[in-house]
Amino acid sequence: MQVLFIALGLVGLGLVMVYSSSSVLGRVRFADSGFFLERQGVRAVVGILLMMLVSRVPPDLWARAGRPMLLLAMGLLVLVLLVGEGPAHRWLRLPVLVTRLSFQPAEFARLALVIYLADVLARQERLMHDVRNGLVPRLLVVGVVVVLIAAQPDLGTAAAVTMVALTMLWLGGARTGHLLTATLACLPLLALSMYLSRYQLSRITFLWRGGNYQVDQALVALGSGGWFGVGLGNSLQKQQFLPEPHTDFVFAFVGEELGLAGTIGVLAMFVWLTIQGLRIAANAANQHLYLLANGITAMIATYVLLNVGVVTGILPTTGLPLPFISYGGTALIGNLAGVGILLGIARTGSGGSTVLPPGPVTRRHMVRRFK
Amino acid sequence: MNGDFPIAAQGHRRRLYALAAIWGIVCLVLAGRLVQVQAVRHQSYLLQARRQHQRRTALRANRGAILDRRGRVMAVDVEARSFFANPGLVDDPERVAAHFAPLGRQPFARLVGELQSDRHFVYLARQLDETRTAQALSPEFAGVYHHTETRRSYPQNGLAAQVIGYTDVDNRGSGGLEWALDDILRGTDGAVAYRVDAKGTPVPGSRQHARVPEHGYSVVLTLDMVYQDILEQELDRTITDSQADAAMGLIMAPRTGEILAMANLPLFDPHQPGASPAALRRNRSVTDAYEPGSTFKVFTLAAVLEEGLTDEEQKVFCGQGRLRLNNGDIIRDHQPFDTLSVRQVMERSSNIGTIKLARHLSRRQLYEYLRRFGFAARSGSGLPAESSGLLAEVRRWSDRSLETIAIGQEVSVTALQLAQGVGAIANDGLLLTPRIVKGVMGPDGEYEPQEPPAPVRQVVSPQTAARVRNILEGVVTTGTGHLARIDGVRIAGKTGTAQRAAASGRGYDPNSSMVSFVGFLPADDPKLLCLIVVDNPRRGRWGGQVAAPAFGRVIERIMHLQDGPAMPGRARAVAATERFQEIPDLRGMSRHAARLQAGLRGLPVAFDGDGDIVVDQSPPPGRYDKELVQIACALGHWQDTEHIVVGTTLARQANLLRRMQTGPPPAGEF
Repeated sequence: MQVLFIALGLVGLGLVMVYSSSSVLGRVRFADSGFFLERQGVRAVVGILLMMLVSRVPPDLWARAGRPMLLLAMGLLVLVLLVGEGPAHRWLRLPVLVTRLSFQPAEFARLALVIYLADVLARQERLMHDVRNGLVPRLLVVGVVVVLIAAQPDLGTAAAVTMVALTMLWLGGARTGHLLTATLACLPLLALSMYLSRYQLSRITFLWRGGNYQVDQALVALGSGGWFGVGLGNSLQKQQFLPEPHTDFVFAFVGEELGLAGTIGVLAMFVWLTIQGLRIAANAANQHLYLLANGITAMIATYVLLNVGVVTGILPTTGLPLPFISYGGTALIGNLAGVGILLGIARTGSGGSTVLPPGPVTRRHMVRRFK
Repeated sequence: MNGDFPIAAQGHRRRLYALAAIWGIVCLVLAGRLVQVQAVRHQSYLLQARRQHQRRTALRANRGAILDRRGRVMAVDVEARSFFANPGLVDDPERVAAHFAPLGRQPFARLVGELQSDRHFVYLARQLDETRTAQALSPEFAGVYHHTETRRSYPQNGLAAQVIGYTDVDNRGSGGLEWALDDILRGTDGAVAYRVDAKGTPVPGSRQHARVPEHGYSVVLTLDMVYQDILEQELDRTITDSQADAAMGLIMAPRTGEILAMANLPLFDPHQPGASPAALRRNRSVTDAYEPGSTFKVFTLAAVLEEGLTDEEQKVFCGQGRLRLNNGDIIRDHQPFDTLSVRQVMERSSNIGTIKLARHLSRRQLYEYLRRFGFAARSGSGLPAESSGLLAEVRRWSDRSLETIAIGQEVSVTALQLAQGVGAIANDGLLLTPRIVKGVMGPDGEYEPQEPPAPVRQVVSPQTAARVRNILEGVVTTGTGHLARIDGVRIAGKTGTAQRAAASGRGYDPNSSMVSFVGFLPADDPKLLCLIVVDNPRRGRWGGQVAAPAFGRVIERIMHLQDGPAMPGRARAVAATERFQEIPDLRGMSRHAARLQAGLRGLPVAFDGDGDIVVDQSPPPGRYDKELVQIACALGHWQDTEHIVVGTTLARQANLLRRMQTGPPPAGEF
């Protein structure tokens, strides 16, 4: 249940920060300072309802859902390459009822991949030492998804999905050496894609050369926040200094308005969420649920680490949202659905983990588990 | 749950810990980075943030105006536009240069060269007035920009140019009273701070006053513009008629020491001081000492009379125009005289007679008298770069010094010193400090008269002064100064003719002279004193021939002015003689400017509300019967009135002041 509260808390904070950071942008672009808040609010409600719904689904059912979901995701990824809209062809517009819903297939694909991998890796656990029959087929599936995402192009999401998949393969029993070899084999490909698009290269070289406007402005926002920030709603950087302030760089505004206390606090909430996720995994009833819980946790943790790394200027700019907080419907709903799955697993987990003892007891409990 | 955990997962348990550890380490790195950025480097980022969020704009302080004794503007700030270019963005350097070369008074070729250079900033034309700004603004050129500055304007077109002085291109006083009174005239610029968004657009509601500008004080001079104009015109005419090199003139009020006019011809254009040689820009009336010649005999006479060594009717033998001095040199009169009374010695300006009178004095006595008349000391008028003239100390006098100094040789004086000394005779023997500043008008618009300086000293008794005046009256009625005579006015005066020192530095140049006339009127109760000095006239040799007629014309024209000789009085109510009262438009002006405007018209003004900008006024501008004499002004903050651009008030002020000047506006600049 703690996972639920942390997630809800993060969503709430996210709505506040989305509003604070996007009010000027909304007014300039749409003459409505609440433009982005309203949309994100609707999505949060949808996401929370979906989370509740998903948490009621018996977790074992996800084993059957894996393959169809991934096929659907791949289909949508191909579709978005053909008819995609928005910057870098990442969005699909679907006519639903009277409105046209737009969403990012990549955000759905990463969840589908986690669900698929958890199922397959659990069933083929004994084969994972076998490169030809165990590892390579999985890597091929992962590779197809990653290439489809990278082709949009969305290298950031592709990289994040790769990392999550590798994490799951590793936890699923694949040999460390094999995975490292596979990773090294991918490096020339990465280098090639970098070479082909110079702007990708510039996103990396600024790390030692400097001169990336967006990151510089993010650092100004963070740095000017100091210990306790300039106060909620008082951001000065939101006067269009930081482009797209409400999405990938929303964490910078947490830093500016709430200071170091705010950023460390948000980071701590994610750490707490991750620990809870790992606990749920550790308590899972079987290998499938163990991998599923870990996959979802890894997905959230990876995104957090990459996003904060980007905003603080120590990683190349990848364009990944901060889970629960950044503006963006598909990602929010997907992450909340993931939390729903975690809740479902927690409910069916062994050893009375359905109702976890709160507070300090939990720590002791956890420590014992991990021994 | 111990043993019942799924068997398969058991083997990978360690990997879960390892994963948690890796995430934990990355997380710590990120936290460390956050501490570095947000805590350690906080100050530097805060500075960077301020730099990009905040803008400061200077609010120019108005430089005070220079006004004559009746509030007429002699120097004032007006808005001016400067044009500059970024050569890299200029499409057609030749067309731009052709357009701006005449406007900016720059050679076309140089401008083209600069526009084709790799510089980023080139001034095309600086500080253009309204007319030329309009010309400069069309057509528009790519890469050409302009900004507004304030420029000093002299609406009277160089009247009293050397006295008023001029400012440099940054509007700081650099000559004359503009320089001497710079501390009073110059204000302190203010600043306004506001936040901007990434595009540099000010964020609404973020404006704050960092510092309110402190406007400079306006200075009201003792000069009377009309007198000044008359004096300059007559001096100019004299130069032309006598083919002289230059001329100086002074009009003073001997009872107060106020300088009513002070002219140095030829003039220069204060709008372009650099176009004239430095010698022309000097206020030679105070900076340059000349040998006074016979006008100096007045002081010898006063000393002799004060010491009781002679009387008016005493006979003096004038040696048939030839006298051997103590050292054996021979001195001559301009015509041989036999025996003259003391009165006649002055009337005929006999050197020999004067020397014989002076011989009654000791060297020390003559020296002391001259010092007491103010010679060899600066007058203390406050005019810059004053010379103290030359009068050797007694111990350095030669055998003939007493005799030659008595007739105004071997000494040099400034025009102001001479006028001051003669002024003491006119003022019953009491020496006064000459005054040029009558008062100041503070930033709050309040006029503050300057305390008149204390009288310097009683040089001779009132009786002696009256006797000298009486003798000097004869100079004009029957003597050398008869050309200064005006019917119906008793004028006292003295002519002077002196050879100029030779260019070689030894002796005198027989073909070059300084001729002068100093006089005052009415002779029995002097109100006006005037000194005319003409430098090197080629037609006419004597002061009585050249300077005295000029004196007469100046005095005659002043006498014919409607309001008569100007006497000290508060400068106000210029419009009071008109049938209708013109209510000025004070809206948009600072409190200071509004009060100045109203004050100069003699209109009481009342302010209501807080703030420093007049946002409304009652009655509105226009013409009204005299009964409507109070203007009620509603004050507001200039932040409330977005349309007001900094500096507008200056231009409006200049416009209004121009309109209220008496007489036709001078041609040229305006």
